[in-house]
Amino acid sequence: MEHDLVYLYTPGQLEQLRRGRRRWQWILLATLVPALGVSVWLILTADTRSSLVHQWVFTAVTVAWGWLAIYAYTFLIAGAARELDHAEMLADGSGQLLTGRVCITRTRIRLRGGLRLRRVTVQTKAGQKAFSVAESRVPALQKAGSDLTLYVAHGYVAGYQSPQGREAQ
Amino acid sequence: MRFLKNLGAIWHRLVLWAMVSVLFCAWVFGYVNDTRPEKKLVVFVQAPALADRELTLRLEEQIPQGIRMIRAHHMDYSLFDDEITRADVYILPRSAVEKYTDTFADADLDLPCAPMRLADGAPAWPIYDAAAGTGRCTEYITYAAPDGPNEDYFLVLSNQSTHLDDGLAAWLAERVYSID
Repeated sequence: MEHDLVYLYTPGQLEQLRRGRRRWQWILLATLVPALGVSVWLILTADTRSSLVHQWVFTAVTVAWGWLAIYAYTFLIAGAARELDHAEMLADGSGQLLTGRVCITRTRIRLRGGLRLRRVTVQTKAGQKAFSVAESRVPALQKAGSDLTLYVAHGYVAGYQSPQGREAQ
Repeated sequence: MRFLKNLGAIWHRLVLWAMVSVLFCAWVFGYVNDTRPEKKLVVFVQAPALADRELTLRLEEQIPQGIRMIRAHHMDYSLFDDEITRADVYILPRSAVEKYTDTFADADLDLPCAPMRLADGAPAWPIYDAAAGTGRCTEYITYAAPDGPNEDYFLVLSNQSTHLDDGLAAWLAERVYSID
């Protein structure tokens, strides 16, 4: 049955996340070098007449680079790392299948560390159950339709069974 | 839209970084650009107002050999830095000069006015006459505040100066006095 499952995180998407993370790490390093260079130049060339301007430019460069680093780290580096960890957790194979009417709610959750989630409810014969799905995977889940057999693991939607798989069953 | 939303989620970190950076950069800049007391001449002024940067620039028009920088600070600067303990020259009102007599050095300056002798014998050269409203460095130092006491001001040398023996403290005092 495993081969009928469509995972929300495909190997290609995981590789894209890894590449994005590495790219931003390099961008931060690449911008750090000129920022440091400018800062050292500003400090070393300052005299009484120019020191005020140099100090403010030095401060502006430091603040701007810090803002870039905070933003990139929070949303593009740490965010991707958390999403990769999340995907690995979902892929450990300990999930179960659940058939029912799927509704992706508007409830948004942001976990500490930056992973954004959406609440998903599944109306089964036994009643309603609620799970979460990574916000970035919502379009993929929406495309699959609403009457689905979901593959859920650790309280998260990890994938769904393809229509062909269901028909074969 | 996503970018703005993200900014909203971390705005407190960005503000905190900006606040810390301003203080950190000011400290780094001052620390790296500073030099040893032996290579610096410092004058502290206790007056209602001082154009410290302008006076520093004026003083640095002539820098003696072996000196890297000359600094003019208001007394309020001593709240942020202990440079006051290594000052070479003070410009103080009469009340302060008479109060801190034990911190001034005995020295001979080549000035056109006679010094006032303090209780322990240290000389203090008059630099501002409150009654006449005339003095030296008046372009940079506001001696009389509109609503404050109108006092005479004196130029004194610190006995903690590292430039008493090489004569540079006296040179600085004469240089300050030479400015109209």
